[in-house]
Amino acid sequence: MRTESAPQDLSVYVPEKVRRPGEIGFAVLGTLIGVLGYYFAMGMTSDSYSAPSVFPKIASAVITACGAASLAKAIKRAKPPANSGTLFQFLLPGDVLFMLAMLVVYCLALPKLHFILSSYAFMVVGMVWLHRGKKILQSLIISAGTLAVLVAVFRYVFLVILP
Amino acid sequence: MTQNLQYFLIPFMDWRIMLLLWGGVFAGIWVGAIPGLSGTMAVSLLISFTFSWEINDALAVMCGTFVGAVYGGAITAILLNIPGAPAAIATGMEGYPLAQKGEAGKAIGLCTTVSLFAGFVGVAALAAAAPIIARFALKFSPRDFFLLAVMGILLIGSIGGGDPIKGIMSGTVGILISMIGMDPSTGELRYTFGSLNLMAGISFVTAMIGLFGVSEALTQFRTSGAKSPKQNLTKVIPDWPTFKKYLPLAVRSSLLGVFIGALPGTGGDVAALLAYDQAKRTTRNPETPFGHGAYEGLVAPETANKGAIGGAFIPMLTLGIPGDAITAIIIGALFIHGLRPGPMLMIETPHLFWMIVSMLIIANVALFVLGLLSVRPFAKIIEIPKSIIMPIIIILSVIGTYAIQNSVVDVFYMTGFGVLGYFMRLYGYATGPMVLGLILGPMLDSNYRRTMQIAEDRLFPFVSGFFTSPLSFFLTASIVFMLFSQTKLYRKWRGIE
Amino acid sequence: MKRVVVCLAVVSLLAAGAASAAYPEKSPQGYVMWGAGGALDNVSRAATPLASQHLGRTIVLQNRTGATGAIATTTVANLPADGYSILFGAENPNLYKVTGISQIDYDQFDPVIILMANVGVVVAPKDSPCQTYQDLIQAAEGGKSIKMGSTGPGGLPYVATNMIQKIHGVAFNLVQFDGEGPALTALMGGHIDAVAVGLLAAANYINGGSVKGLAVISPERIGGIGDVPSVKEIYPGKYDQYLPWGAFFGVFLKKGSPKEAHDALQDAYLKACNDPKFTEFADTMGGVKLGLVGDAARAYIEQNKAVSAWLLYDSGGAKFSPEEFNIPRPTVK
Repeated sequence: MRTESAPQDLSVYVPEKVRRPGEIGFAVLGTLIGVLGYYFAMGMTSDSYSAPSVFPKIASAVITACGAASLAKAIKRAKPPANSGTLFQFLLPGDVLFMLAMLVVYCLALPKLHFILSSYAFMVVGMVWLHRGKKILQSLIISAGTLAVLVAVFRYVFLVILP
Repeated sequence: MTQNLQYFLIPFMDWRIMLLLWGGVFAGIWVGAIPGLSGTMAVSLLISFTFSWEINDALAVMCGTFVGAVYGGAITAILLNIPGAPAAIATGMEGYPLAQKGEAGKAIGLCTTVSLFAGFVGVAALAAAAPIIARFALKFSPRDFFLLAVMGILLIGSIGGGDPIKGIMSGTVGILISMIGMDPSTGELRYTFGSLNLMAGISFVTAMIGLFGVSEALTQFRTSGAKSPKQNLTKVIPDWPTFKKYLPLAVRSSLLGVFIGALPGTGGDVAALLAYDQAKRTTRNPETPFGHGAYEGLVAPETANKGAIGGAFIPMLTLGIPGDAITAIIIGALFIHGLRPGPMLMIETPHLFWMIVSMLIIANVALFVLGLLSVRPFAKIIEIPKSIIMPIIIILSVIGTYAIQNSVVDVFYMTGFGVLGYFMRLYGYATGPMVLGLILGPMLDSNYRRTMQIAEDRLFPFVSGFFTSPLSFFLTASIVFMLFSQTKLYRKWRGIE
Repeated sequence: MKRVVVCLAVVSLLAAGAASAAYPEKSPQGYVMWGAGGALDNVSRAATPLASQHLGRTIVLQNRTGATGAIATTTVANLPADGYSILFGAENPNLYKVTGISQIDYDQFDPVIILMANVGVVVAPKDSPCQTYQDLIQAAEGGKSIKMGSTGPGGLPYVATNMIQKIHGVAFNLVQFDGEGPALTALMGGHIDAVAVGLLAAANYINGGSVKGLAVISPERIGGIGDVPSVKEIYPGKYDQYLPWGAFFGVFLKKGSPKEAHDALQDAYLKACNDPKFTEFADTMGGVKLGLVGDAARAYIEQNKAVSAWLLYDSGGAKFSPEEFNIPRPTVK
């Protein structure tokens, strides 16, 4: 996260002392990507130094190594403080969870309800939620205006056939 | 000579060409600013649109759009942390923190001013030294392109943020993702698992919009009570001492941009990234540290990608080889208008060369004026409350992604990258290196393999090539130096920190 | 002034079109299977505005790239056969079945028109020690390692290179590029020794003298580059089995589309193809204008498919035998 703390040269890295909830799990996941990447790369042509499998293998090996190093570092760090809440609360606080769920619903609805309807619903619901149920009229108007501009630009200037 | 001067002056005399150039720049700024809409897309649409026009008019609007689109990418990068175009990724690294501090106006103003300068450097190089630069660009062998890509990858050290291991990991995952799909040189399917959609690969623009745009929006929802930063809009145009301070950096970066732009196949994005890295390594004492809004980190990429415009025209006009994606389309447009864009172009149609030179000059002036006029309205965008702007950003990301190739599948990928980016940020993995890996992965892979094939798959000729070719040796030495300059020993010796 | 006339013409055509025929009721969508700035894209974008004028509606083009065009082919094949989804394709789908990329190829489509052909030409750097095609072949026969540019299996350079290797019993050192343009650029920089590419990509460089044309892979010389001999002149009889062969650019509709739509499009594109503006474009590009429709177009596609599929299979570049898909082996005619 970049929003916090005073200016600091990012090239000089000060390791965090305390582990974030779920950090170990994330590092394991990363390592797994490397291992799987290597496993599937073994199925590719690898008859020479110029084979298509060379780079996937190198990349997977680097990922595995970095993942393992991150895992080792994460384990060494102190446990997250007890007051930091559950893993779920850390990963998906209320607003994030709601918007993420909305986004998934939106993506699924996009091919069926088409662009204009689903986008309008997404924007209005999103704005009203973030305003905590206030300014409903404002949300309705702003969403309509934005959508009109977007549709005009994409559909009529750039001839994009919207879903 | 007087003949050439006459050609050069045509666009200045013709009000219609003037109007089309200004219109093109204006449209280009918007195209560049909206993620997903790219200059490439706009110019290829313009081919059909200008089909029945005269070639001069068609070229004017295309050149205008080209110049505007390269600039526009920076605006969304600074304001919203969504680079409108890949060439603006580095700009966002410094521009967004500045906007959060209320200095968006000053940032955009500086970008606009140095852009004008860099645009002129690019045009000057095009007018004065095109044949020489073009011949030099041809000397770049696959091995040298591989080394350039390696240089680009070293940038992970600069934009990785936090833990270097996490930065490298993020970057290599990007490289791995860029391997997905049908390998363009052998047709081998890699990580496609039988899916036709995966065969097409994952466009890095899709990933970029997700990793920057949507993941930024999701991260913002964690603190949705926070107020949007108030913007200070006095002194938008930098004064002379400020400009003079950044001038040496601007000269270096725009020249770098010209060269990278002139290399066939590499354009403003690679130029901007390399220039940013170069600025970060050479700036001794930035007022603000890099990553938190260093103006040097804005000047370098913005001048490099503007210089690359003139650079991209160099091989196009002298040899008929496109310098980047947009010049490739302009070559197509010339064909359609019955011209022969090839090595004979400058001999058969010298007026075209000088008109493009003057069109680019006019377009850069137009960019300066239009850019400065739009600083205020643009900067106001970030003062909009987050509860309103964030849902709009998400919708913009969706429609922008869809527009790349009218594919709903891309929207799913983009959302996936958004969620991935959000979790990565939570655990201190920067998203920038992943996009870098996605951009440079194919360049690394294909040029490495080509070099190996030229060496007939034998290790010794492959390795010795790095030392026997003067150009490769120079690039190899630069990389070694770049790595060495990161060590404690070197920093101590030069007295840094 | 000219523009005003064109605008008026378009408007009047629009009015006329609306009155006379039901098709097209809306703007048809065109899917171009290769990227912006490529040869297919250029041909499509040159012909389509002309055809749109005759059709009375703008055909909106978009590039759907990926998997050597299989993405665009599959996309259009999955859209309704209503005549409003048009595929702009090159020769690549002819190899989808033998390479196992996809089971959807031109068998699922009807050719509206084959606009242009692109013959192969072997080029070398201008200061190359190989001044003629014989020099190149003899050098390869003598066991010299020749760095030959190529692209992925199925691309014109790949198939043409295999054709040469098979006919002369030689082996080149293949260096693979992402496309013809990058291969030519590397050739001009002297990083490879020779490359076989489509004439559309190379004509201007040959005429401008920045590369040397050694031979065109065609029964006779080609108008735009009359100085370059044909392979038939140099090695009579040896290439007959495979010629004529080359890349092509065509317009396709999904099978089962309304005949009305097919006819309207065919009519519009035939007119576009015969337009002097398109002819001039074909000449400057170095392409061979074809304008084939109906059975002639289908026969052309099948001949191309037979040559490419068997060459690819014989060189080991194909996963499946063309026999499995009833593709006959090309014979001397």
